[in-house]
Amino acid sequence: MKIQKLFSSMALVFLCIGVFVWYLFPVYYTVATSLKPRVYVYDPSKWIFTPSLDGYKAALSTGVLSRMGISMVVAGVTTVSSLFIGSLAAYAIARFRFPFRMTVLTLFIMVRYIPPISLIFPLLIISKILHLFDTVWILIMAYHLLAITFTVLMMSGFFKSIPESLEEAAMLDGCSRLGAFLHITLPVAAGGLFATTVFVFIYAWSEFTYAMFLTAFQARTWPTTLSRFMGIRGVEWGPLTATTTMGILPVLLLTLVVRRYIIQGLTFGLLEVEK
Amino acid sequence: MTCPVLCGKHSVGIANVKKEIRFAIWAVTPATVAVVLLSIACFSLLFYLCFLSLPSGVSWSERQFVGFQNFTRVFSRPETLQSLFLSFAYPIIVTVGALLVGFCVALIVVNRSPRLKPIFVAAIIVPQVIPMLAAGVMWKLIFNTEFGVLNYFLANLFQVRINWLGAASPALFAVILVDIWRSSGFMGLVCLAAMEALPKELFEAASIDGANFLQQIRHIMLPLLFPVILMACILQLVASLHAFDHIFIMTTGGPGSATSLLSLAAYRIGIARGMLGEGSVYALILSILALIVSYGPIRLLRRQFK
Repeated sequence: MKIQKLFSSMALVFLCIGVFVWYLFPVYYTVATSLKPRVYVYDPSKWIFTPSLDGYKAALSTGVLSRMGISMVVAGVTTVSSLFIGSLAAYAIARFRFPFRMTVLTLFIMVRYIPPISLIFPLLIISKILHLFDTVWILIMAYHLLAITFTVLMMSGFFKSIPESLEEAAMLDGCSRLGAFLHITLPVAAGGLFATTVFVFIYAWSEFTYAMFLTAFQARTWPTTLSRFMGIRGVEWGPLTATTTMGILPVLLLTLVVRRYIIQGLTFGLLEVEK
Repeated sequence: MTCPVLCGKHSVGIANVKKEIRFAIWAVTPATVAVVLLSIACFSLLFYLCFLSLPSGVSWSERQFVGFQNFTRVFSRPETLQSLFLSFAYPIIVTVGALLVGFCVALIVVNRSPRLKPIFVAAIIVPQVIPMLAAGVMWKLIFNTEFGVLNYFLANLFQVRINWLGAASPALFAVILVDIWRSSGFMGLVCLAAMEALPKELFEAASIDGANFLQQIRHIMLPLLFPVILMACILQLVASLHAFDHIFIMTTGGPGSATSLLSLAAYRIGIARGMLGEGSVYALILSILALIVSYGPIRLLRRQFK
């Protein structure tokens, strides 16, 4: 009996370790490879080594930092503007019954589920006609499509969960509807708003499909540099893993801050799971 | 009093209703106009592109109307049928796989101590937020034939080496595994949250009545979780249909066209080979497929906003 118990608890420990290995090993291995000295990058048997910055130096010498700067600009502009436009619309959808309310919502979710690769071709033509090809503007425009729909779907869930009586009280005291929204509802929904901000930023920061095919040289964002390290001469794993690590580090840190909202972010509250 | 226009009970006078509606319409217009304009422009252009031939790259002024020629060419290609099949099969395999893995992970994690659980949850979240492209890079490193860590273990343990990304079936397995890795995080989180919401007394009562662990899962947990799991699967199906980034970086649809989903076919024909019209046909098929599948999430949403 005692042996059986020991056996099952050991199995449990193995299973728990298995969970961590399954989810974290690829990330660990990438970060570890990025820190390997150049001679060991192609040697999987090397588990212990003195870390070196060879990969990072090689990556930085190709101008990855300026690519990240462009990503930052694109993501920043997209986040601020789509958050503003989107949360206003979300508030209206959550609070009022106006004509075509359901149509608007349905449209948003349909747009949310259009595969980005499908829009590459028309966006390519639009960018050429408007002379926006290879500028940050076409990227910002393309990202708005998803960023706005995401914000609307996510924020309307948050706004719906805030009791209306709060605003009514403010409005009885002479606040306008916009005032009530700005001074009462937004601060109460601050947590959700912040989470939405982070998700939109992460999306625009790491988007690849549009960035790859709508830019050529000037407006390349950092994800597109990854495919550049996979040239004809083979894959340069050192700088490649280093760039990947630098790119996902802010994502992981930001996610840690908003982990409470992650299920809502993935489903925009479509799943009602009590927590 | 209950106002017919505003949701729920309202103490704001009827005189203000007009003002309220004006505010609502004013607030919802910018987002709607932006999304509607852009998506309608893109969609009609995509539709138009399917009937065009753009000879030198994407020079719009040299376009030629070619009727259904693009469609006949696309459907006479043998790979098209394969791409269609892959685009159907891939989301289903990924969803089922992710559900199985995620459910098991949730089972392992759900009864751990409250101090350990946040660490588990943090680990499960990680693949979810890593960009699919970066995930592709990570797994490409693991799957590498000569110095990949997976082949290193296989060679040491079983003396086999598999050409993971260079042979048809292993490559397909690899790209599916990457998506399962990522999606099992989502499924795990959803299952975990749903399991935590179940009342403990149910399981205590069942174990007093002599039900063992598996019976408890089969007869108590699964029926109760079924609605949540079903909805999570619907969302996952739609999301997997979008798969592009990690396949692009791992195999670019190859070897041959073994991993060439519709999205990859659109890229390979439309951009790599420069036949924008034919690529648009693939893109159009894919979007129609996505619109059909998005009926699921739309119904979920409508129920919630009624």
